[in-house]
Amino acid sequence: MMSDKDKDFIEELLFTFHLEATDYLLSMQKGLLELENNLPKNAAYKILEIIHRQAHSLKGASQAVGCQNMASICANLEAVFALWKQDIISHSGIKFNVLFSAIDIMLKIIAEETISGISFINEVNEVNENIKLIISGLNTELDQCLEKKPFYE
Amino acid sequence: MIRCIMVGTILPDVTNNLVLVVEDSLTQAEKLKHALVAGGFQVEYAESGEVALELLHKISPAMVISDIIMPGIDGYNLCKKIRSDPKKASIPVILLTSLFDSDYIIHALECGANGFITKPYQDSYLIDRINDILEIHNIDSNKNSAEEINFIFSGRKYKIKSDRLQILEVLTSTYNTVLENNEKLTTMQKQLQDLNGSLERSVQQRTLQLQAEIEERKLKEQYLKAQQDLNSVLAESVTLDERSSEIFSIISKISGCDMCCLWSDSQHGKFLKNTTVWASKNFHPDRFIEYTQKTTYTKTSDEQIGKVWATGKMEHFSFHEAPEVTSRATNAYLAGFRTWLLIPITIRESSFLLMEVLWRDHHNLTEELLHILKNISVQVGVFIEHAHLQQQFFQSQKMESIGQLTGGIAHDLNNILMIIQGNVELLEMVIGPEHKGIKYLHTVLSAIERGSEFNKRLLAFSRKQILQPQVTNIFQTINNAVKLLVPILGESIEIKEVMADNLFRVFVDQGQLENALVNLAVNAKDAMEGHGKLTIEATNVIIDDTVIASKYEVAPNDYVKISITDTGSGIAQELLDRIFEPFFTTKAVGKGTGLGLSMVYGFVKQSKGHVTVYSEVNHGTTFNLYLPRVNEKEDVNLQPIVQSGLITGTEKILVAEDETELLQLVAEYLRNLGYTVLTASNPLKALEILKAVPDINLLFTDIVMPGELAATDFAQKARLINPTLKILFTSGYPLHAIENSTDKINVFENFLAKPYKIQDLGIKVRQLLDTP
Repeated sequence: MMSDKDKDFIEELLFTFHLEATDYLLSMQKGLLELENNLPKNAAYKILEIIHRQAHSLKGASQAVGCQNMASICANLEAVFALWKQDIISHSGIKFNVLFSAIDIMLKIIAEETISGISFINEVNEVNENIKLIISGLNTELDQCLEKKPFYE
Repeated sequence: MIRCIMVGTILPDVTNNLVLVVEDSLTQAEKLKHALVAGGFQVEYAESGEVALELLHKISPAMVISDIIMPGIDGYNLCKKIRSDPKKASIPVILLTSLFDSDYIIHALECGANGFITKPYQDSYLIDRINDILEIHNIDSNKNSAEEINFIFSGRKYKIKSDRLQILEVLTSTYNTVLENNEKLTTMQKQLQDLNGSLERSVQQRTLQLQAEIEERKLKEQYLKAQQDLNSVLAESVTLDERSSEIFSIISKISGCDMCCLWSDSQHGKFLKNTTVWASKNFHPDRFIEYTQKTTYTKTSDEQIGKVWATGKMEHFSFHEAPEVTSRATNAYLAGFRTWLLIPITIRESSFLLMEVLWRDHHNLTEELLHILKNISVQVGVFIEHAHLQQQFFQSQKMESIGQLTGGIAHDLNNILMIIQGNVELLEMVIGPEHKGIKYLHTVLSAIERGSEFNKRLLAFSRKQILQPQVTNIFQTINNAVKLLVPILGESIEIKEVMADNLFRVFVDQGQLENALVNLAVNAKDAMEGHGKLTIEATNVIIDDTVIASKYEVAPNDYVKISITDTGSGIAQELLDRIFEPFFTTKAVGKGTGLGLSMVYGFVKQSKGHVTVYSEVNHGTTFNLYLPRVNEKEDVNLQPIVQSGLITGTEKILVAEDETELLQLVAEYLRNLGYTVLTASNPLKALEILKAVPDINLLFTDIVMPGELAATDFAQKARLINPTLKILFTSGYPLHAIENSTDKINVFENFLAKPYKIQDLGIKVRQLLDTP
């Protein structure tokens, strides 16, 4: 049985997490909006560094409160940002809508009382798959294919 | 957990339990703080490396625990800066990281960290690690100065200036992490194995399920296909016999059966007999088939078939040894069958069928198979019922057509007989009774009489004879008939009367009913070859089901059923449909006219009733006459008017007749009777004469004449011209043509059927003229 003290602590921790996660998510959202404009390399790097670190911190914070669904999205975002920082993935290879939807889902998760993310499990899985596609560069290849051979022909 | 204790050293008393936590994530910092406080530590918190360095000027913690990735000064640089400050250099630093890479170990050594802990961590593990590092650190606080080592790892150069203890601590951290990860890995592997095992079992289970589903689907498809085949075969068949082998082959395909029999009830449910039998190819249980075809069952018999018939419940049996109880089961076993299924089919509660299916193996009769077979048996039953009704309809149509033909012939023959008879009678009057040729005329008249009788029978069959129906209780009529029958049937035939009490009253011509009963009895006598028993039974029956009523071609009503049963030779099934046809006879040439049963049929039909016949070869025949009930009181018997000699008169009569010879004959008749006669060959001419001659007393007219004017209209127009005019109708047909006009004309009183004699005409004309 959990003691009242523990319960109080968890409540406090969740409250802190909610505030912190909101800050990180809104900040990442803002950073991505800026990155969408295809900024000069240095400026882009600075933003990437911030959002990469935020994704990393949010991953740790999510693990700390036991929200593995969010932690998994953050881990994938962290990987994308890391590769992006190293120029392994280029701006054109990034699907911004996927990254924004990842952040939207996380905002939905933290809006829930339990923050377990169970209700969004399908969306979480889908967005993780899509982020992995960005990481593997498949999206880019697919786009290139479609550009060469429009499907409506 | 590896704990590294230096042997031979004394542990100092550690009183400083302050830990500085450096973490940019507030959530993680709080979680860490909570764990540390629970582990007995005091905690100071810095949200960045910069803040931590400032704090270290103010406090001297026992340990610094720092996140690696932070904005500004990261964990590595913070550690380096602490190591470079001589006042703080001895404070052990633990790095928290979720990263795990060999680079991090080198980085940890390079920056002088004392160890690292990977995230996420268990609180207890964290506390143990901190305590270990503190213990080790306190045992040997005299740090060995270390020389700088240039170190290349993964192609990168590192400068490491760590002392032995620090290296040992980092290695211990690494080893512990590896151990912990190994432990996790082992647990995960175990879980994975369990999961795989469970998955494998699930897959196996699902595969088996799928295989079963596929088999079930295949079976269903097979059933569906067979059902479709059966539907199309039944749709194309008129009788079951026609395609029975095809139908039963389909049943065999579905069920794998080796033999199939259809049983139906006979004699209104008295016993059950085999109607169809089928055996699969290359299997010839001839003796069993013969036994099947010869055997009948009753509801009360000990046989299973009888029991299923009585209970209406499907039953099946598996024979592991010869059954002792019932003979059919024993015979089936001896014929090689091991599985036996009996499916009862009740059709509209009026008749009963039973489908019997036999297998030579111990067949698995699944619920689904039983259901399908039950459906098929119902389908076959409905087909048989439908075919039976259709056959009845065709039979009825055939009888109707023959009736029309016969009626037409009788009508024309009547006119011819009338002309011959009339002229012979006139000739007789002309030559006088003393003439030596008079005997020839009497022979002709006698032949005409016979022809006329013959014609009456034809008319009776075509339901066009003149009936004089009365409301009557047939009890007396049957008694009268029996009195007549005793001398006809002779002493060797026993007559038994079974009369129900309170028989309904019926509206029939008693004389014709007597005739019909005598006719049937005479037939019975021939069938019994002079020896046997004739039972005449009369009961009340109620037919309130529309379907059954239409089957018997009668309206739902109450009926009196008169059954005449003999114990004679019976009539073969294939002849039963034809026995009511005129001129159809099974008797030797000269022994029967073939009109007896036709007359019975026509009479009963004309009386709005129905006749059925049931016969079993070598057992006997039953004729059932259904006569509809009426509620009116019994009529008083009409006494026929008996008069002798010619009845004459002097009034003026107009004769209308389209056949010239007949017209002349009738005119001559009437003139001989003393009347003044005018003639017209069609209704229009007659109307003209009526207009021209206003004092005509009587119009004598044929009903069926050419032209558009119907007899009733003609009569009405005639009455308009001459309101006191009496009208007498005649026809080779009886009443049917003017049946619907009884409100205008008293048809029974004003009708004279052809052929008639001059005396009959005299009486009828006089009666009518004398009527006020």
